[in-house]
Amino acid sequence: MASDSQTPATSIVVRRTVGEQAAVDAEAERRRLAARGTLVVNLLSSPGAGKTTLLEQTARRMGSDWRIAVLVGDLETDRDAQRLQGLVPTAQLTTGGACHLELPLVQRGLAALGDPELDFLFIENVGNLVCPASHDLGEHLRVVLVSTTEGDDKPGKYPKMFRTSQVMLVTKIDLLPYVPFQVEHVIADARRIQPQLEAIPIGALQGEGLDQWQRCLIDARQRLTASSS
Amino acid sequence: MIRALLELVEQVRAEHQAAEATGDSVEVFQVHVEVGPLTGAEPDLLQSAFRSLTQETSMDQATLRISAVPLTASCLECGENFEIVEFRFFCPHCQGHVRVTGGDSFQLVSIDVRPSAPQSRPSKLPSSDRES
Repeated sequence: MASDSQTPATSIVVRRTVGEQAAVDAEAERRRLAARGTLVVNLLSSPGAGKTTLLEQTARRMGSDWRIAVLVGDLETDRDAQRLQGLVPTAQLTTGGACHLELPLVQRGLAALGDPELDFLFIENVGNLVCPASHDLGEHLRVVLVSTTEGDDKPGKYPKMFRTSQVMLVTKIDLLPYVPFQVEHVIADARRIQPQLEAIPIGALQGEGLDQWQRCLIDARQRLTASSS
Repeated sequence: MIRALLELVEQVRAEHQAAEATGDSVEVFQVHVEVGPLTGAEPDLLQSAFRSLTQETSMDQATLRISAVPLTASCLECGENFEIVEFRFFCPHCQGHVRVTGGDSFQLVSIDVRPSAPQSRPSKLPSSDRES
């Protein structure tokens, strides 16, 4: 559009990152929960990769020895929360249309649970490999799930998600005989993007890999509480 | 992302207006941002979200200028600086671990303002609509 040549225009140089406050808030929450001995785990994946099933099995195995709570994010319904309700304290976070969770919603969910003293807080994010990668929920461990029914070249398509994760769970390994998926391929693809990614093959319904997953969680929490004391 | 951008733009605009001695109100007519390969944003989608969120506000004539910046990293082992190609996050010289140095954030570079046009324009601020 044409602007009036007589109108004095001023260019204000800003050079600031958009979303700085959200990042500051997430870091504050991360520290607050670390100081209380809570490891916050953000679980991410495409829809249907097995986040809820993994959490059910994790809750069954660890729920009596550790203080665990789960926040479940979905656009609508509380179906996933219902599955976990009987096992550990669970709160459903409904985004009502937003395709990812954000910190304020997570904080409200934690408050709804009474902000209890916890060893582990699991956040089951909305099934989506795109937007959640850009939203810090104050987590200490970012875990991405890729199932054997997806492509083993998936990581390269979602670089931000895999770059920002510390653990990759390759789920539904019981289906390997029936699919072209190669576990070595997906691990190699992911490690080109994030060489330090820990990769664990999982068959949650058969109990496969769950010992290693449990070890991973306990070790991560140990490192967290050691560095916070 | 565009919501957060418009909030920041409004903050800068208001600070500028307050700092200027004239007391005239200013409006924003161009917003310049930088986006990189790991920002997690697609320029076309940013443009349509920008248009949609500035509609019927005081910024409905403003343009969004997007500059692309490369994904750059620095090697934690040998110190080399380089551009990351095909999302291969390891040093091309020594294969060492790297630290991203650019191209992974959403930067507001500058905003262009001018004295507000008289009351023929909507006065609603783009950042005043906030989802709970």
